[in-house]
Amino acid sequence: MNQEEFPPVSSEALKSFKEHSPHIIKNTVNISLERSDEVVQHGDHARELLSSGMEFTTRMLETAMLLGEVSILEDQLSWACNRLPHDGVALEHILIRLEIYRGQIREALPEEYVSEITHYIDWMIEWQKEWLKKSE
Amino acid sequence: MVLSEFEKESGELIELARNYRDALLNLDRYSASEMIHTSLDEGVPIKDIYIKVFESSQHEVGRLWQNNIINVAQEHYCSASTQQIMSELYPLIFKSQKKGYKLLATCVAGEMHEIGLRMVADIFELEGWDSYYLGANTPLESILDTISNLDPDIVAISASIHFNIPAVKELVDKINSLPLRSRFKIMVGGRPFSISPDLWKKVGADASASNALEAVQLANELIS
Repeated sequence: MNQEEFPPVSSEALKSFKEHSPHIIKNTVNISLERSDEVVQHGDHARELLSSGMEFTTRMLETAMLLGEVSILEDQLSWACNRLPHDGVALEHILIRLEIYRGQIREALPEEYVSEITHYIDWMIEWQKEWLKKSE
Repeated sequence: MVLSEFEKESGELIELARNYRDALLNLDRYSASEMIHTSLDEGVPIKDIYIKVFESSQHEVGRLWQNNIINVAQEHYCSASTQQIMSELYPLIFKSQKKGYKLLATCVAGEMHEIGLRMVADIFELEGWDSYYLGANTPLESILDTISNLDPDIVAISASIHFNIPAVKELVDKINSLPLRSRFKIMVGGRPFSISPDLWKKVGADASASNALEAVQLANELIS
């Protein structure tokens, strides 16, 4: 990771992301729930669990983007990859949900802010792919 | 031989640390307390008990939860019991000769993990500082009021959860605009600052330390 490649995002882009994030989370959760074979193990708690997860991810992402600190995301992704399988969340599904999340960001945010934000999500997705490769 | 993180952190006190952890995991706070008092009687320094038993055991308990070996209730019991046992040591900690320096220690609003900061405040007290420990989840405005009223030499701010760092930055920004700002230094700590060595600069603080001993050493340098 080259920290210098991740400057803090502009205040305008961050503000826009925060304004749109409830909608982005809601849509990401809805789309993820439609993939029923990936959430069946969570039973009646699936929506609650996925919503909490995406809210947590969003707060971490906001922090990383405010300060230009990918290390924060790396530490949390590493933690999540160790912990979440114990809660019945498959690592492959984390990757799928991040990709859905990125798609929703692209759809929701004004075009001028998208690349600043997705720069960080792209990094998270690549990190997750690498982790999956290593764990095969 | 590859040492575990627990072994590395506990050093020569690993046996005591293991027994202490096991007692707490067996819901036996009395045995845990007794072994700490016995070790102190045998001459183990209280600072070593804090860093190599309390802190290392707390980290180990966190790892056990992360790996699904224990549940949240067990983790909370260990933390609560360690805080109770720390309190039992206060007659020893608070009798240190005072140097006339004041530490204000606080967690930011929203931060519920307080035990690490409490250890920092206790070690400062042991080293002759007057510590003013505000605990978890303290509202920003009340921290500012306390700084103005107390006139501390060091303000120590803690955040363990990464997404509380914006609250640290907001607090430091506000503190930096206080009229008496030149009279004290700001130190920050907690896991996010340990994994990112330059993060303290980005939030506008004066320094960061990775544990209580390093914090008090750094504080002594900052005020000299």
